[in-house]
Amino acid sequence: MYEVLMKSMLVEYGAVTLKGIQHYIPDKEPRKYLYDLVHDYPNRGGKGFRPGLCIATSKAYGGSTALTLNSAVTLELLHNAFLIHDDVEDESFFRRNKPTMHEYSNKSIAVNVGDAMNALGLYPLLKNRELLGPKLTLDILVEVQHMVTESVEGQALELGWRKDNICTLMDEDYFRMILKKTCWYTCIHPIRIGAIIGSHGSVNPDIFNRLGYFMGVAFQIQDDILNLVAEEKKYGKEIGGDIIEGKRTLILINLMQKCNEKELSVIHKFLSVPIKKRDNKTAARILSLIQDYGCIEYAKNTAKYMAGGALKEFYTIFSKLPDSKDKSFIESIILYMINRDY
Amino acid sequence: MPENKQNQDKNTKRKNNPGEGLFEMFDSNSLLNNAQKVISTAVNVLEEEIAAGILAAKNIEKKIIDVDGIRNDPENLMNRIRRDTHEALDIFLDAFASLSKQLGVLTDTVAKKSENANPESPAQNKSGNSQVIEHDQTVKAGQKITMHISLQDDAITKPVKLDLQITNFTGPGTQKILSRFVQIIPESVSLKPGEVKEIAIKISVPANCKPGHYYSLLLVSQMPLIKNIITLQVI
Repeated sequence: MYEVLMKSMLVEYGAVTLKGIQHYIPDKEPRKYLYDLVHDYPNRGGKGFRPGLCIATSKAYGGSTALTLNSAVTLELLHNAFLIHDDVEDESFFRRNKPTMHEYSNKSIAVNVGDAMNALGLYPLLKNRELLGPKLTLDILVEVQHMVTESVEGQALELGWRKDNICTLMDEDYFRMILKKTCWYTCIHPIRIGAIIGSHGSVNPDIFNRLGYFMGVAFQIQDDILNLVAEEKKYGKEIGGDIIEGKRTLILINLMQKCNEKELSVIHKFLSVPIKKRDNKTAARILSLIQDYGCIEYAKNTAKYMAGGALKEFYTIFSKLPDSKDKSFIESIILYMINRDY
Repeated sequence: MPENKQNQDKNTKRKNNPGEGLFEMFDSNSLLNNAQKVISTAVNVLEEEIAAGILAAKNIEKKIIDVDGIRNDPENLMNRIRRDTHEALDIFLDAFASLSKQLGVLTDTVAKKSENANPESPAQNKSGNSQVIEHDQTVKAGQKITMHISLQDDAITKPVKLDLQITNFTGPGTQKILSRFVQIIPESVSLKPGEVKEIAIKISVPANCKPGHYYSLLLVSQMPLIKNIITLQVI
């Protein structure tokens, strides 16, 4: 029931945001290696999680889609810019069932398209002034500035771990990295921005930090689990790609905590060579160790605890608001995370 | 092998706390405890990061604005406060102007209805409007200043007589420049369509007037919806 509501509203808010994105992409040259490519990732149809959360929170607080759309467009444009750059940084092959941008063009073009999307993301923020006035526009700009800063810091943490081949990480290291890299921009800031718009600046956005954080961690862990257990077609990326890329997921961190020294040395050696030289045979062995040590189960439980924490925060904050479809939508996302059977 | 490692871990645990591993599986609170542990670790990370963020922001602010330096330079500090106050006043005036405009739209509808009911009523500018007349120069307490304002009304089709009034100037805190210190020359103007007439507003700033931004409303008796906001800075 809640899954149907969640999916239909994600589609609805995703569609309106996509229309908004297309509105802001200039219809001019250079098309072939820039503006045509800017359309590519948004058109592939992502989950629309960020604009969905932002618009729904705004509406739950009395706002509207129209008032929130500019901010939702910025969130989605910046998200897609992150994805393009992330795919280059991770040397990924597939994104949403299609070759990554740098794979079908090249790295230079993909990085430039990502830069263009970051720049395009500023325009809707400026347009906010016409609908929301100077104060809220500035407040939202500060939110976005913090969001981008945290995301690049989180990305730097993880890239640093990979470069230095760190194999001694703890759960709190993972939480910190995910908070910075994912939670702020996937959940915390979309919710905060939505609440700022909906309440016209009367709600203290800090009250949503824990909710967004718990949701973000649960979301990311579940995404990492999917990378190992989902069907490739359904998931849209190469299965086990995270192992090949050496992504420091909670699953890999848990394995490195549990395995014996010999196994740790195999993992360490595998991760010390460049991505393209990592062999599938060792990757399969690491996957097998992950299963043997119950790391996926551990990650599933952690994700559920986090989603539980998110649900508690949700009820604490949103129970004061009148019932609405948008309020139910946010709840449905958390319930989906708790009851997900992969 | 994984199994060995797991057994090893369990053995180590048993050594530390005999029986813990054995009863763990029967502990009904185990799930809740695990959840609390995970949540608590995560929350600590969040709080640390927020605190670090606030500290970093403060440090950046410190780098951009030399807080100690400003504190040690009272004149600079006063200028800063004046500027900030000015900006705050601007925001207030914007809000005031916007409110008046909204009110104007509302009263316009009412005025239109009244006009229909009584077509013989004298012609008036029915659109509510506010404008800010800001004096660029500053004035010291005890000094006099004259502002010149041009009057023109594109909406009139026949000559109209305009009687001008001015309210007290309101300043910082409870400070005021009473309207008796302000003179409008002339107080009454006859304006033809397309004609521009100049009036002067002479303000004698009292000697005990405190520094700050002051504002007042210049009103036209025949056009109650039009409000001209006049600002003045006393240094």
